[in-house]
Amino acid sequence: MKRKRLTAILSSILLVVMLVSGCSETKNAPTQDGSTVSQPQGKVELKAWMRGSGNESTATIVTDEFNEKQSDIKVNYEVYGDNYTDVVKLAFASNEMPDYFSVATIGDLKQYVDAGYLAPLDDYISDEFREKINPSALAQYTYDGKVYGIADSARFIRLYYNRDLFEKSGLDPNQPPKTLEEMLTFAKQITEAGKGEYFGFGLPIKSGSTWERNIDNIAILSGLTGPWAFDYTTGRFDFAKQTPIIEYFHELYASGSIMPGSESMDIEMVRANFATDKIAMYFDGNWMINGYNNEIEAAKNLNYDTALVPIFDGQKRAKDYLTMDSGLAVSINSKHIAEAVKAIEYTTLNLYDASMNKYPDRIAPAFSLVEEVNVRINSMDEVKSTKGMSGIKDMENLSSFPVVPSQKITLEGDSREVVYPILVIEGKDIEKELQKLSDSYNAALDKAIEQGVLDESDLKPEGFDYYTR
Amino acid sequence: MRTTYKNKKHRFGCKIQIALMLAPLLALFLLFNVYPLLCSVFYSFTKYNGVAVQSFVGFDNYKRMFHDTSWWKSVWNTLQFTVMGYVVQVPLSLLTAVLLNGKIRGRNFLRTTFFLPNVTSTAIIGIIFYFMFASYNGIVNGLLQSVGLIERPIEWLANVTLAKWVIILLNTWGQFGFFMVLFLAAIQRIPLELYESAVIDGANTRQKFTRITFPLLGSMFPVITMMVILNAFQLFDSVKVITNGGPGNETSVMALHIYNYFFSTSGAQQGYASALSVGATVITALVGALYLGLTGKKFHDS
Repeated sequence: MKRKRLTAILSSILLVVMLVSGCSETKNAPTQDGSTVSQPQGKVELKAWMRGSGNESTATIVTDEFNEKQSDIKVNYEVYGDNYTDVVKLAFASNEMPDYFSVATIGDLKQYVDAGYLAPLDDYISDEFREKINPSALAQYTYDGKVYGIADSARFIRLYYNRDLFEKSGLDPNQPPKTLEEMLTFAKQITEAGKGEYFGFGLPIKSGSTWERNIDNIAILSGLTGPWAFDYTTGRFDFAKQTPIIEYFHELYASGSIMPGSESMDIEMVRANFATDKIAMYFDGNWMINGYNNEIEAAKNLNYDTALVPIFDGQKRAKDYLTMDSGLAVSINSKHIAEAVKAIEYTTLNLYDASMNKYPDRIAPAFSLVEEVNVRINSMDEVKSTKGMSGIKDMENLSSFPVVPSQKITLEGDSREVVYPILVIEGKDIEKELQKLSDSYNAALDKAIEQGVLDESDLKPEGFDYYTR
Repeated sequence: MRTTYKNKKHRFGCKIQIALMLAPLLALFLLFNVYPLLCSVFYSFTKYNGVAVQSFVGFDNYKRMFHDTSWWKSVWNTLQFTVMGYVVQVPLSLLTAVLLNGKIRGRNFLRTTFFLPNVTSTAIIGIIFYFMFASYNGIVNGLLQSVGLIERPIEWLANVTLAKWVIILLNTWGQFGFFMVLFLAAIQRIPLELYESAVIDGANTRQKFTRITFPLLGSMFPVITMMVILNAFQLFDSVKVITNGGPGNETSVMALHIYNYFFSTSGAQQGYASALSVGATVITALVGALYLGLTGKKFHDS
């Protein structure tokens, strides 16, 4: 009995000690994040947050270079992967924001601006920088005439295809599909030749961004709608206009040419299967050229190339879809806004050069918003001859949409990301479901206009044309 | 007189002791249960995206809940999972309990094996099931193909009905061992004399089960039923990992629907998500009340 009591007392003491030590650990945590680390005299220390999946990225390399090249400012950066947006929101809520940080999407930026979390940068951006940068890199991050961030790179979609699998299936690797009809035939032919080993097409149905990269992009290239089926000629959402493209993807799915399991695959899984010769074709962003050439170890032996995204036979090709979704912004609480902008300017101007300086053997094309950088880097012979460059042409045909209404509305009801998968998989009730989508998106649009979140004149620009925009 | 005074004093001291012992738990309960609960009730009357200041919208979120067909679909799915979970799990665990109560070689090993999934995280079980039922290179398709039952891989998770069955299978595998242990404990409480006299009277195994074991287990059923219902209403992790509610919203459940609105990367709607969670609480309470109302007498008896 006595012994039992002793054990009970001892274990409760242990429990208390564990609890207390657990608590004190969390208490110490905030001081570890570098915000109040003792500074060498005269040097401004900045805290920065970046989004990334590895320890090193082009963004961290250029920041290291920035730290080395001058002695007035030191940037301490931290890299966050999954749930980056949640991390940022939480930090805002608890007033723990870094001086500057990357913004994952324009939609996020808008939320931060509305909540008064971001510092306007107009007074700090140098004239020299303004001259060099593509004006839309600032325009996309402008609200009420003030610049709240700077886009870091140009992003667009290309068809990625595996040259080896083309050859194995009796196709000419120098002739990627030019029309969607051709792509379907190719996908079937490759899948048949693959006999379950490899497949014609990869579609990451589980990733939300799939529909923007696959269906919206083709709709934009075909002059049908803008992103999220928003029609800038009428100023309304019109999902019915994307019907032929959805039907096309259903046909592709039903033919068995899409790698099985696509309904539960995300984009990373499709990339992994593309890198290991399981998927012959899929759509992805231009930045993956650097990914396959330099970052993904498994893609070392991958023999791939890129091509323009095909459209339906007989259609005229409209302007290509350019996004500048990720960029850098400065927290309103930062005590060193001028220094933060200086670091951001350096990052934007030297993003691609810094990586090449550090790793001369890692050849990658530049997709900078500074035209001079692109011209200089992309005309280098070793860049021209690197893998995946065939589709990197027609960069003049790229154009962004100044306002993407789907990012600014509060939708009541199912989003397109929820509805499209079942339409592509089952191919049923397409008309009815798309009408429902248009109704709920337009209802949310009306509310946003009413609340002054969106301006009607931005939604229906005068003389708008998908071919000349 | 003196004794009552002493008694009173004693009782008072007792109360203080009880209060002191409860205080830490109560404080934690207030902080981590009551406070968040009140917060979400407050948020449910606002429009709030987690960043901007919340604005009061009255009952708008609740009105919207009634028209949200996807929400009712996930409520319906939750009920389906509850009923199917019950229909599958309870007979299975009872049967195993009865079998493992008999003299079978290696029964301790089997008992442990069946119980083991309970100590594994559902999320991990979910990931393993996801790989097992993967359309490409999944072990289930591989087995069926090598036996010659199917020619083409089955898209387990793209077909709504199949995907639901995979989820039910997962939950059954993960939970029935625990119910089996509960049944076992109840079976072992039944006096052996009853069986002995039944044997003398010439009862066979089936009769022993239907006339003795089953009726005397009665008190265990309401407990297990309640557990199955509660488990099903909290269903989240396995669905999130296996189908993430897909394809479309067809396999979504209440908790996942709420989660998606609360943590959506493309514009969170935490006000509406809070209203949904209040709705979910009401639905769960209603089901619980209905169940207790129907079986209240039984609970009393036992």
